[in-house]
Amino acid sequence: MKRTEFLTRVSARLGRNGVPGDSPARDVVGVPEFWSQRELSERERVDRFRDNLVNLGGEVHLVSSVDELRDALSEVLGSLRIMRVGIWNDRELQELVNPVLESYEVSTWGIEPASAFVDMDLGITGAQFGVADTGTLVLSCGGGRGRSVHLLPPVHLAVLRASQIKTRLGEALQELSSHLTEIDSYVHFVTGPSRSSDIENDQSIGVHGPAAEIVIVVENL
Amino acid sequence: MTTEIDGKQTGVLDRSRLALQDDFLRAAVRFTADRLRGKKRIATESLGNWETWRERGMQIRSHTVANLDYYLAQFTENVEAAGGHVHFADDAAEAAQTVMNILMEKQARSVVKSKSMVSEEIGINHLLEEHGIEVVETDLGEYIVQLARETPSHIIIPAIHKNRRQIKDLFTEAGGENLTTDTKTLTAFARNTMRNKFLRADVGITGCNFGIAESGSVVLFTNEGNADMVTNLPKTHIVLMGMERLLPAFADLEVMANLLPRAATGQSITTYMSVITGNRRRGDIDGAQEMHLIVLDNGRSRQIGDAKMQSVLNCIRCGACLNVCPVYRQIGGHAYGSVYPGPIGAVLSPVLNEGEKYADLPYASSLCGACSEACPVKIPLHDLLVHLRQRHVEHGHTKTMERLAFRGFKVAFSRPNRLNLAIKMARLGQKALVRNGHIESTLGPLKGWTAGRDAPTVAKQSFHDRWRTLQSELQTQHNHALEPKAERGGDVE
Ligand code: SF4
Repeated sequence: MKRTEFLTRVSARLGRNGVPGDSPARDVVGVPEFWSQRELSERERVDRFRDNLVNLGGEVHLVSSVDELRDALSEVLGSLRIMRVGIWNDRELQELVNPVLESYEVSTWGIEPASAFVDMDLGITGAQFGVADTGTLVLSCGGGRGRSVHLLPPVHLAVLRASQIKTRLGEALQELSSHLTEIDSYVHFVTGPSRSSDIENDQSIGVHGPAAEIVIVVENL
Repeated sequence: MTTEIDGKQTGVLDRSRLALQDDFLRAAVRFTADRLRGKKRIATESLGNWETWRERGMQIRSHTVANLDYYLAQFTENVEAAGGHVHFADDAAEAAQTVMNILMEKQARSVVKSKSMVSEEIGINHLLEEHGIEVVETDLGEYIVQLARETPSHIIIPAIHKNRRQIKDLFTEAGGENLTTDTKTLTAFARNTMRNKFLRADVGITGCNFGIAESGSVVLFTNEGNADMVTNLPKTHIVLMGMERLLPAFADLEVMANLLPRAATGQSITTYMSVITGNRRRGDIDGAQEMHLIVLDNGRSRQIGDAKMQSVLNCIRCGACLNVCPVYRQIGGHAYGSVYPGPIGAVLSPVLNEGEKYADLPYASSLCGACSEACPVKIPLHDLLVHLRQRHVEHGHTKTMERLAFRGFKVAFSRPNRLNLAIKMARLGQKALVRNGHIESTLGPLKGWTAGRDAPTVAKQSFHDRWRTLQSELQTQHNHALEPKAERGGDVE
């Protein structure tokens, strides 16, 4: 069989008869300790997340109540003259934002056909985590959390609880590692708007993915 | 590699001479390399402890390659457990045929691709076109290169050799109306054109930056978002992966996520890092229904167990060695005539393809060592280049080769500017021609150059020191435009 033949050749080059049964012993795994041992307070994590994302052209709104969240959302939708909004089919998220969406044309993932999401002006999602070090959102997609909701529209807006913001990328990866059997088939780490420097090194935003990344961070929730 | 130019067979020397005639190319290559390099410096300095990170990166990659049979078995089993199909290919032709078989089975008429060096390696576009299947490169730079019917000139920024006027002409030819040379307009044309292609395509093809053995996940680092469309919109997703591109665990991905974007484009992370595990799950509405992973050997396994060459498999394809290479900076990517250019290409191409085809590439280097220092996983590239030259010598085709290389490069780099001088100096460094930071004016015919070549007598460190001094001189002279602001570069895969 091809597989066996292929792997046997590798084993032979490594000087052994076949693929070892036990996992190889390792001297080091993952990041150096000085990196994993850093500890930031929630305040510091939120600030770092915001600074990093803003620095990359993202937009971050810090709010500290559900009312403030809704005000911020409605301001964003108004100022961008949004008409059609796509959203994850996620009860918690929907309860937070639905009152604001009443006056918009809303498509919910899994309720409206996927093809509807090609024409959305803005996609609203939650996020599993934020990463302070890089200003990254971690979107674990599956079921009601459709991939197209944040990928296709020109604007992506995510609602994130401050307590979900981790210091480093590794903490989010560790979560994946500890739930290997339930891992979604698509986990997307998104840091700022889509971009390219392919034309004469000149930067352009919104090449294929969203041109705007907006995150509303809710503290005390 | 020899290619046809004006009907004549040419080698790397001829091609580099031709490349030198193209002033735009030279300027563009240098500008891009400087920009990426400057950004890398800022990004690594702000991270801190870069040497510790490199060391860690090297350890993880070396461990993975030293246990590649185990991790490959684990990875591919997990891909299958997640619903994916796994194919193994011994060489480029077999990988290409495997792709073709899948496309035939799916009766695919159109394919969208995101940037993948392995796909260049197996020359898949050509084959698909022959079969009347539309294949579209969706990375902006790759799309430009494809429309121009050329190959990438840099592994991170493929179209650095094209200026905006040429790009506008190419886009106009491809159906763009009333285009200007403005970046926004050109990008918008690409975005709109691609949108339709993504939605219509039967199959998406991507590469793979890393495979995570513990989960069977394929990880892609990109900036534009095209890879996510390619992965998720068509019904079938084909992943092309070099057999060595694995990491044992997600914990190790954190190290690579810190190293790769910084080394490639000076980003602390790319805009997108996509972790794809098998095909869509029950209850998912989007995402590929079928995922095929093709694992490619194509000369890689031959390097395992070769004490000298095994480390070449540690490469994470960041392109940092290109950006610092004085030879690459002069001649650009195409002169190498191979899929992988620059120092990594000069090592990889001849070892992946044995024989005479790329045998001259190890000579397309000044052996200055800047590449080894730039490499985020500490591959001793210039040692490997020396080793390949020695191997070449042992195989008997030597002196002529060496002399040819010397003569050719002397012509190729004879332009009277500092950078050329730098190359000569770097090459001559072992002869201790530099005194007190000055270059001896009597370089003369560089007598005896060949004799001392492969057995450096001067301590490595002092040479590196000289090289650094020279580099900083050059930096001042060329007044490098470094942009401290956060900015993004090309796609990493
Ligand atoms: S050899 Fe090192 S520097 Fe060059 S592309 Fe590979 S990882 Fe990057």
